[in-house]
Amino acid sequence: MKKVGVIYGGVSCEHDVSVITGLQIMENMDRSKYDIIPIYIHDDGEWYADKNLFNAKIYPEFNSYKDGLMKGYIAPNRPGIVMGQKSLFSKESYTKLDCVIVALHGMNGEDGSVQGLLELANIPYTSSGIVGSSVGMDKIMMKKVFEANSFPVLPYTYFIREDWEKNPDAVLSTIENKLPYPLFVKPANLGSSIGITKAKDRESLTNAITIATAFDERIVVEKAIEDVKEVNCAAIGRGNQVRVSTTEEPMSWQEFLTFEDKYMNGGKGGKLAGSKSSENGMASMSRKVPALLDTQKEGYIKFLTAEVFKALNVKGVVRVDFLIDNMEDKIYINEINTIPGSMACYLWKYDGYEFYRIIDEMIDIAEKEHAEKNRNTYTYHSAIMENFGGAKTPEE
Amino acid sequence: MYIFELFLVGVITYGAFIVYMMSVPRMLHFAQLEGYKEADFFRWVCKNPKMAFLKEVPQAIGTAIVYGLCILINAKLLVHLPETSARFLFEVECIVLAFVYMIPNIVKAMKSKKERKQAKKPLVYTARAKRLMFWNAITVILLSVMFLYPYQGTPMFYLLKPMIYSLFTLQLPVGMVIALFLASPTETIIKDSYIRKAKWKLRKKAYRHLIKIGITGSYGKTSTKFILDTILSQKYHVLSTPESYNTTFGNIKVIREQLKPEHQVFIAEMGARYRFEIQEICDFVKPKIGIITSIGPQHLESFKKMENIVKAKKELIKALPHDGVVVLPNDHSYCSEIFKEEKRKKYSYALDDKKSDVYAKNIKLTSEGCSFVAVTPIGEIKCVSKLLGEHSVKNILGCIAIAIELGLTKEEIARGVAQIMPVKHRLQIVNRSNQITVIDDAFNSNPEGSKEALNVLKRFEGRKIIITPGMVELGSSEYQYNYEFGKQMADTVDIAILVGKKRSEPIAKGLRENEFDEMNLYVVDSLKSATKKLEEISQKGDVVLFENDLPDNYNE
Repeated sequence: MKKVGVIYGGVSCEHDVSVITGLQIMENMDRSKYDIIPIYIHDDGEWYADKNLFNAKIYPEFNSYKDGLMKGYIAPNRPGIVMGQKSLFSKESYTKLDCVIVALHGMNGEDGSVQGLLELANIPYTSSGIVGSSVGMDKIMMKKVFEANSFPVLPYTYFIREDWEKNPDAVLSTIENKLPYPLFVKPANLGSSIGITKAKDRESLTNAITIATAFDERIVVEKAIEDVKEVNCAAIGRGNQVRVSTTEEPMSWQEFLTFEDKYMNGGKGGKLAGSKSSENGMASMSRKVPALLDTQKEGYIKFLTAEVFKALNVKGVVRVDFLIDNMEDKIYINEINTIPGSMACYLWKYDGYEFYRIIDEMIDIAEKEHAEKNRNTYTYHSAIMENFGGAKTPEE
Repeated sequence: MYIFELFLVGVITYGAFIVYMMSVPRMLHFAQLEGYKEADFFRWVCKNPKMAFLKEVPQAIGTAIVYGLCILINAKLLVHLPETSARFLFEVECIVLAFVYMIPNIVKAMKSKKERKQAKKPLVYTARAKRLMFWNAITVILLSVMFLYPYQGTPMFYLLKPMIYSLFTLQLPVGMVIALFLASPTETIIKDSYIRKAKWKLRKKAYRHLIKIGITGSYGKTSTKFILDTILSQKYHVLSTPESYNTTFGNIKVIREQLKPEHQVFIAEMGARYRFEIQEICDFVKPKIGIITSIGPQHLESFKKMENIVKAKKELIKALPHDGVVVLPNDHSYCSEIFKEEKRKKYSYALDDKKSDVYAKNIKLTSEGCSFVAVTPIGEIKCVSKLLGEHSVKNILGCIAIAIELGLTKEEIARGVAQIMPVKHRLQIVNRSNQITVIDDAFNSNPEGSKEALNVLKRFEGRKIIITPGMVELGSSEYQYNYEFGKQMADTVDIAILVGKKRSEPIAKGLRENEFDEMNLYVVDSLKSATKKLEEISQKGDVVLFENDLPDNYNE
């Protein structure tokens, strides 16, 4: 049996969604193949690794339970997890991990930080590597890569906070000269909708920038489509081997339901049963799968998804979000999510891929990548050091 | 008596006791939701007789009849029958009783256990809940001893005991009230020891320079707390009570478990349903700065009169030291009066009243947020925030006053205001898309807040839909307030989905009497049905407001 750690939670605004993704993955993993080790990062940054983490009910009142949970962490110098002891008299235990499933969303999880740690520790992991993760997270970098590959992006511009503070009028004029209203103002690096505001004139633009600059130093301003249709598409693979899923039109208005409702929708949550138990959570929000599109658009979106996958050097399961301008009948890429909520299991399900199979595939991809990486040499004894000092070291 | 009969009697008696105890958690859940207060729980029972015990009536009556028959039969026949037949009759009665009483109750108890797990706020077996289970056991034993004492020594005793237990499932709520009373002396002792521990921690050297701020008010407490936390975090390391923790135990828990020496500011939210609750919290927190966000008719059922509400809020002000700082809104009502009488350092704030220490001008409210210029003792500060509504501006102004008192610069305050994120379930936009925009105001439950929510809703474009069960805990004025709510809705919303026929009746009336189209009015029985209805009728571009989501003890 392989020892697989699932990291979820995280210090980010998307901590709660990540908990759901993590719990769903663990619930759907093939227990006969994998020994699952839950690794939960609480929003205060503390890492926990304990069997009790499988119980969904502890998360809403985590502070009441945390003292009874064992802590654990991954160190950069060995490929496994070190788990803390509950009593004073036992040492820390080390368990080698065969693979890590990264189920974190947003900052400090999807941006290359955790990936860096896993690279140093040399553990196979399912998410995109450092490059893919960080470029996929930074809206400015991402758009530049899209442009370089001639992918369709909405007209945009960007600036840094320092320039805004020095000369706001110049920044406003630059924006207004380049882009028509209405506009979206977004911090370059935060996930979901934090700090994003719509602006329809100079005054609301000023306000929107004031808010965005409170969150980040790099700000993106892009054209807002009036009559817009959102379409998402997922992909799985590695390098140039990609498989694309069906499309969806997200209708995430039911997200506000409480955590318990979200996860326990239908009353079946909490228990971990073998394979395909509740794929509730994100799956239960009424979304249109597949999206209502004509074949030409659908084909183009699927094609673009695969191209984006290859261009950004990502791996595992990703989701690319598109915006269609209904009036001008144009398709644009909005962004890529290198760790999508619920690993887009509801999209894969439509094509007949059960969640546990997708997870198997993700682990397989992680191991392949790891094997390839270890084929390359990273240390090289150069001759530089040998010529330092004078005398040779004595042999006796 | 022979061994077998003894065994049967034991099964019925102790089995009945166990079954009774299995039925207690259902009441325990409701008691927990009502905060373990005897008066609150009793009031809940009176208002919700169906949920409390009418469900038990058919079975209890059935059991009583069977018992009655047994007693009658025994009284008439036992004397005439030969011993073996008498014993056989007795055994049959015991077994029938076991089926009639215990089995259905066990099934019911297991069903309700499943329901409890799925409830919005499930039952948590805290130490206090477990103690209350113990007191319920004591209660039922005491009561049965009291009733059975006269029959001691007679054969009737052995039959009556389980009968008392069975009738008690009917009186479970009464049993719970009695148990709550019995529990209060020990609970008070336990609470006092917790308070002492919190006091002891705060008296340590590490916390001598901790700046403690108390927030109370009929509404706006939690929102103001989060706003204050965000703004003060620009300069200080702040700890505030999480979510809407605002009780004695909540504050003690935060102090004992989360407060660390590196914290420089502690913000304690203080809530109350009775007088002296705020005083109790202030007794160990000992705040230096106090702010009352508003005084209004919230929790009138427990407070009984406005006068008591005012006295309760004033407990925070009274608790401040002679060099404390008082921050109050200029509401031309209770708060302004308190402000007038206050002799220590004080700040007043108001939306646009120029006589206040902190007020706003150029206020702009849109569906994206708000912007205004705060006029303060340290100058004018241009503010922008994603929070919606007039009340948000007011709350921000109050926090700016405190920020100024604690030495923040204009830049720090402006950045803090821009960073404010909407509080979960308080006028929080959860999805803004081309399809539907959802405003989650599930935690609001008072007339002011509801009015404000409708004003906010008005500023959005598109078809406006509201989903609400109405407001509760407003005492005798509840009907009137909900009627007014309905009246205002008629002016603002295009579609109204009301949850709970009985409770929302005044809202429906308010809507109908103000020419609201009957076709756009839906009445459903649960939140689930409401969201189903919404799925059916919603169109692209709609704006949906979820106003006040009630916990499970309010289901109809």
